[in-house]
Amino acid sequence: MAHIHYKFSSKLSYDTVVFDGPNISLTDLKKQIMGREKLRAGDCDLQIINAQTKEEFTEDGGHIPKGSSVIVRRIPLIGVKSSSNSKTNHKYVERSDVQIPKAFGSHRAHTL
Amino acid sequence: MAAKRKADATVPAEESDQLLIRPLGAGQEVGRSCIILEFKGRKIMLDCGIHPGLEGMDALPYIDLIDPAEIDLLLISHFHLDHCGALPWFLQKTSFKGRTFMTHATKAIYRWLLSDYVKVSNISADDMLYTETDLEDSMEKIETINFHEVKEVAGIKFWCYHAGHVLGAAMFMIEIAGVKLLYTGDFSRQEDRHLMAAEIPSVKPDILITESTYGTHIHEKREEREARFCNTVHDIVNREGRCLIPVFALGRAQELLLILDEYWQNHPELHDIPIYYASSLARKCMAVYQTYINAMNDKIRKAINVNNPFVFKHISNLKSMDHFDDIGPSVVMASPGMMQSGLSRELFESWCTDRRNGVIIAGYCVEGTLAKHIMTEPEEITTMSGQKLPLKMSVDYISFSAHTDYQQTSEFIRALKPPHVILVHGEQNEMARLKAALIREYEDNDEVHIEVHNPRNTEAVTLTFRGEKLAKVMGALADKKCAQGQRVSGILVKRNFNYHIMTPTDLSNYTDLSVGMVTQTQAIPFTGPISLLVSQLRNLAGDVQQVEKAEKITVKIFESITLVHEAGMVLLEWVANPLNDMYADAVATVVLEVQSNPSAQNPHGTQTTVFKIKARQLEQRPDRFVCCSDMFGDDCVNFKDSRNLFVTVDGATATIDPETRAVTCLDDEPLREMIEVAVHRLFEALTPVF
Repeated sequence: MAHIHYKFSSKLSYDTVVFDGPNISLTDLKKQIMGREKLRAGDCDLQIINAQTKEEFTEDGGHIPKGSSVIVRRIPLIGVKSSSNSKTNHKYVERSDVQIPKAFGSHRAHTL
Repeated sequence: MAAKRKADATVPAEESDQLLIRPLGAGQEVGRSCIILEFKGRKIMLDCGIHPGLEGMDALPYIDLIDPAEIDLLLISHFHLDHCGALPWFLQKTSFKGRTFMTHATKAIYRWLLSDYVKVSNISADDMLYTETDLEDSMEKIETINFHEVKEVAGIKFWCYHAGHVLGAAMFMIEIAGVKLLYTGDFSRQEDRHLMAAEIPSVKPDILITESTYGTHIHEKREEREARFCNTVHDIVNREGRCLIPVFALGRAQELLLILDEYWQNHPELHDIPIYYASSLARKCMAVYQTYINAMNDKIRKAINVNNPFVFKHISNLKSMDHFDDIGPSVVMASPGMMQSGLSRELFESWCTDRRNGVIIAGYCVEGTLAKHIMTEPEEITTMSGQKLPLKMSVDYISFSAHTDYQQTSEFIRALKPPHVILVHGEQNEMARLKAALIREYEDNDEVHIEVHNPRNTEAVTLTFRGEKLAKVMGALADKKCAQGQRVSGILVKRNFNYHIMTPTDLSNYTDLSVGMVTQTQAIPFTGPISLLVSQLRNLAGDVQQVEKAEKITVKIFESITLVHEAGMVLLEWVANPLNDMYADAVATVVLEVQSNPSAQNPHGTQTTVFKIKARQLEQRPDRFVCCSDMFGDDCVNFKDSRNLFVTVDGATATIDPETRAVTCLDDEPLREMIEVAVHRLFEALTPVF
């Protein structure tokens, strides 16, 4: 059983991710951390940084060896609109001009 | 931790002209307001909210992009979840150690509103960002501020104005190094039944950070809105239906209660139909409202003298579903406002299949919530347990959320004319439309230039503010009027961003500083005869004064270095300044040399001699080399010829060549040595000084 210790940069303490093998790929590590922290929103990503060298692990760098300590930063995904999954798991497109139902009167969004 | 601050490599943050504004939340979205302001090395966080449509860590702003320990000041505008929902987490679970401020009413309501939120959240305890205990513990870290009261923290001056919107909501004006920034939080320029309209500050800010929730929309008139609301409620109960109004326990609910109570008062036919205000904290919440009357408008303050307007005649409190007999038409106001969970969600699920019932959405709904979703009039909805139910009840949206609309925002900006406007707290499209409209308003205006920014989350807006450095001359220096071009010199005292110039003697008058004196003491081991040392010192310094009435032999050299002869050492003492330090160095050198060079014993030791040196331009022609050597008496020294110097002692004659500094003496070897040493010493002592 191999471990990697991770800490969100804003938090105070480390948590652990457990996996098999000598190292773990960046994508798998991100998935594991997001799973543990229950991060579900489709519009956020994680930046994984080596706690000792302060270097960021990039996709090409690939694998993080077991026993490492990493710092994690939650960052927004650039280019993705911040639409979130509602609790009822409905997906709908944001149509701000159409959504306002007939009951709501005088908005002059179109005239400007 | 990777460096998060892009500090100028050459200019320290304190002196830099760059002002940075970075939203970590509410950037092109509504929810989790959290804006970072950095200027002159100070870091301020404005609001710390959560996103009502998300859960757990997802709902937090992007705090990882800053170091909480570096934040000096945290200001909370009002008690809505999307402005203070993350505060217990931020205060208790991060390294933040700055100061937090909010108005009195905000702090009181924050306590109960967040308590309600923790209770109604139906996610497991592990997923919760914080507990009731964290919330309680956070209370002592929060400081309060009155409206219009000026406070100063770490060189940052700030005060707040009434913002309307909800009870205790504030707009914060922040001043750092003369640059002013106004953060509106959520505000409304329209007065309602219990709140005043947002004030227009008398001081004009350089930067305005404003909400843009309603973008370019224009609200309907207040009377029309209230009439529509009351009519809708009336229609629902008339058709034997139940009317659900989901609202948070505190906030706009109070406004709606005032409206309904008055309407019921005027419609006796409705007196049998109950109105319930459902919240487990209802009594505590109302007590808070009854306390902070002075944060409300004049109308309420006058009414309080007659009878308490918040003691309702037709509205009853409902602690929970167990106390509710669902028989016949009724009106129920329940939390939370966007129906993610809790009582309002339970009631909605039990009433939504009956077409007689109706739900009125009375506030702004955030993306991802059920309330927002049902406004699209779907055929069916999914319950909390995953079941699907048909949506038959009527859905009406009548917004009382007291946000500014386009007309109000435009008027507000016109009154202040801030050169920079940063838009936050608005959906992407609404915000973009507002930005375009504002730019269009001022594009043909030559006198007024307003730059509008709408940064995304984590995107920074960098502005440059070139400050003029002003220093006030105080005290004795200011006695005489200064002329243009005149040089003024004194001590420059900087306190936060104020500069003063004064003389050292005035320091204790205007500051807590005072002038001190440093005395240096140095002990050098010395075991030789003190008389030899003194004579050598005389060679060096000329005048060496013996201090009278001292226990031990004490001499004063150069009028500033005191030398005391102790057992086995000499003690030097002097007041530290560059000149005295140099003298002390020279004296110490002589002491060390005498100590280490015993052959330089003077056989004529008892003779007090003064080595007067009037040497000028040693590199010049030898005849310019004038050295009056009294070492052996005047008549012993002779200039036989222009080149050499002759010294005759007891019959023996020594020749001194000034250029090579060679000494020759055929008769007396000790004499020759002595004179040679003296000449060398003289030369070495002179060259560094002259």
